Amino acid sequence: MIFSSITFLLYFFPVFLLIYFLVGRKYKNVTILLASIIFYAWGAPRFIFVILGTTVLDFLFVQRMHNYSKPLHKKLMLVLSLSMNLGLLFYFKYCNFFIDNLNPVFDAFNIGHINLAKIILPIGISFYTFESITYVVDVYRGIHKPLKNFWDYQLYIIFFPKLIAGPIVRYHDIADQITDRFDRTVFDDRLIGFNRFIIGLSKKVLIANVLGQQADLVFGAATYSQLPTATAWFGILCYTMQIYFDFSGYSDMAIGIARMLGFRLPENFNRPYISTSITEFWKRWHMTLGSWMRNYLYIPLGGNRQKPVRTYVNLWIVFLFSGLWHGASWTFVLWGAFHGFWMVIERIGLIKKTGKLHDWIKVLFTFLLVTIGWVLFRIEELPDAIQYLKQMFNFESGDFVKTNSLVWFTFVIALFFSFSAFFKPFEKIADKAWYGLDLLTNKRAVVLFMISIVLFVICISRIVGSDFNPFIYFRF
Amino acid sequence: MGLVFIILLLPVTNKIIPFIWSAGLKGAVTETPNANFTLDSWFSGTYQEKKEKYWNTHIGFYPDFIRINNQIDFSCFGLLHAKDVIEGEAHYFYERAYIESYIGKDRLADSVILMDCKRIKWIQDSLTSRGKKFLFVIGTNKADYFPEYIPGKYKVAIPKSRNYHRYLRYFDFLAISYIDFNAYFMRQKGKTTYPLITKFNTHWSSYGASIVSDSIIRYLNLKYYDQRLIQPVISYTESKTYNSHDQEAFEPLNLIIGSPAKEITAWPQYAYPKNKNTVMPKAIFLADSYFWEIYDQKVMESVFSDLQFWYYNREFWGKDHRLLGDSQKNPELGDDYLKEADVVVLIATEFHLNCLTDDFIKKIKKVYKLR
Repeated sequence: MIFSSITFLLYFFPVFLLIYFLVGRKYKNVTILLASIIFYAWGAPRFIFVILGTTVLDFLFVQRMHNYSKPLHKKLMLVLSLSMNLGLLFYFKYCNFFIDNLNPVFDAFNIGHINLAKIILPIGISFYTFESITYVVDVYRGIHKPLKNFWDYQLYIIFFPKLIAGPIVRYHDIADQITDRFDRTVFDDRLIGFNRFIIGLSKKVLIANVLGQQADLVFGAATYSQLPTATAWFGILCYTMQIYFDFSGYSDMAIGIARMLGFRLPENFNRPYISTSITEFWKRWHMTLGSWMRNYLYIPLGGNRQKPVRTYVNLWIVFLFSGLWHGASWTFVLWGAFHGFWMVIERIGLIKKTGKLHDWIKVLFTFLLVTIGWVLFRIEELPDAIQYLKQMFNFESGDFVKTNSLVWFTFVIALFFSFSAFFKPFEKIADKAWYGLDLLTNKRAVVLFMISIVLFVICISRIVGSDFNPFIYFRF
Repeated sequence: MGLVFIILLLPVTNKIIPFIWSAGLKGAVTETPNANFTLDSWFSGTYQEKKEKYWNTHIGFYPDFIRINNQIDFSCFGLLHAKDVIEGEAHYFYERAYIESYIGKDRLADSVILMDCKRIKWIQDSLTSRGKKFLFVIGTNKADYFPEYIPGKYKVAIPKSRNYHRYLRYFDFLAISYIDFNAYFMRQKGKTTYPLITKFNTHWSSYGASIVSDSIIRYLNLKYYDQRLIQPVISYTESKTYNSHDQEAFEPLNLIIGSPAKEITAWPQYAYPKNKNTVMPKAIFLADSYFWEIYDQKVMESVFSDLQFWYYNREFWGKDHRLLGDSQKNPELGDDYLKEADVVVLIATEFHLNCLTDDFIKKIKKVYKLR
């Protein structure tokens, strides 16, 4: 079930909200928990048992770990929990990828052949595995005590607004909210949350879906070798906008729903396409993943405290891992390597050397790199991705892809919202509008609510009027 | 917050307990079947998939949501949500196939056309040798009638001789009885009081259909019945609004706001003067969609004692809009009636000229035990 589906918007969500606000405080978390189980079971009925089972084991491991006094025993529990979580992730997500890559080696040495397993990827596994890890590691590090109540822990893992596609919430960011949020939740939170949800829905349905359909038209070409350069660029630019509005829209929806329930989830995006470097891009794009990688991978590897060469290697490892996290394919690994490469280059001195250049040149260059990177992200087969990149730079002419005024209009709107904050006057307006969402006067509340309702009706109309409503990060 | 609940719950509530009426959608709407719950379908995810599809089209105000979506796309971006409907200049609407036929995109080999015409000739000869009156009616092509309004991208070099012209040559050569309404309408263009084809329909207008009906009966009277068929007397009611047929290409767009242009149209009323010599034979109209408006006006029902409308040789319709059946499910359908019928009229537009004959020949051979 995705947030932008009729099933969620008109059936699940209103019924859930109604029950949630009707039941007493004592039952509110139970309501969220049951709703989250239904939410997940709807999309992945077989794997609900896997996720419920692993949370039981994780909870027990962490309880034991906390109770043990000897470091070795603590470490053992940590290793057990990490092995289980990463083992499941490996099995479901990477097993076939490795088999696929090992088989040619086995064939070469005539060792035999491993058949591919029939595995379906449980939705959201990459997200909830990382969250389970934060719980285990944070308790191990002594950052937070383990939860006493198993159901609170279950709720943290399976909390439906962020279950499928994040934001990746660190355990200690949400632990207190599970039990203490009720007195702090006011009417404004519900309205602000609702408005935020509608903004996300609109980004997804009115922008990402339109450009996604256009991008699919280009990427669905029978062969990329015939693709004119202009079409290739238009296709990847549409995808660049699609993935941003799709994913940030989904994050907005998650943050909005959580806010309605009194939770404050961390922000996931901060105008990433106006970044002046790849380093900055990763501080603005999928911020919770970046934060996770920093805290649970980069720092344990040594972080910035190592010699420069080692730091660069660590950085690259983090990005290779990040690429692999996104998908079991060499193109994802290359995508991670590509970003890692530019991060290292920037660390070595590119940022210093380009310091005097005007920011818009740096923004354009960074955007160009990010866009090129998305080719690797979008196309699964490496030879196809290489061919597509060739077409982008071989300046071949030909018939431009079939498009329409709606696509062009949406494309311009997407560019505007992506880049306008780069210009100071627009930045002020954007800040005022964005942060104004949180500062509700009566008049503003009414106006924002009315706008939300109009957008909601338009979004529903768009969803029922179109078959195209995918969600890119669903598969991660 | 209460208002949020009301708004979120309104569509589903209105579906379960309808308290606000929504006008239905126009055009061909595919019904999505509901999902049957089984444990297997639940665990395989097929139940959820089907149910989501079902819910997508079964929420309260579904037609209204569709109309809002379509109106935004039409008014703001000029996009049409109706299969194969194209908006030309000055709000003239076309079906894609007509334009493609007009610009010669569906060009057939001469040998194919000759073979088709020979089939029609065979039908004509087989039927006339059994005492039946035969007529082939060629429908109009809106793109041919209004070439000046077809969209710019279709304004290419028009072939001098497209399928239509070559069919006519063979019709003449083989002495097939036909009336060419495409040519007739073109000759009448700009001379009629009311539009023969409106901006928003693809076939002939209600007014145009009345001219066609009148001409078919007049032809049969002249050629076969010596004025003994009822020749209807037609009067017209002028209208500033379109009836459903006159905006048949526009209605399936399912918009909130009505058609963006107006024409003075006319709705025919018929009187049927009889005398002691009047005969009322039985007729078969084997036709494509061009016969629908004539059928709906019920003029033929009043002229012929009985009639059957064989729509593409598949759906068989009788008097009073009674669906007799589907020939694919019941191949015997119409066999007896073919023996009884006195008049057989085939009606097709230029790109359907080759669609009607095959199954009909099989039926004739079966009914009359021919090889």
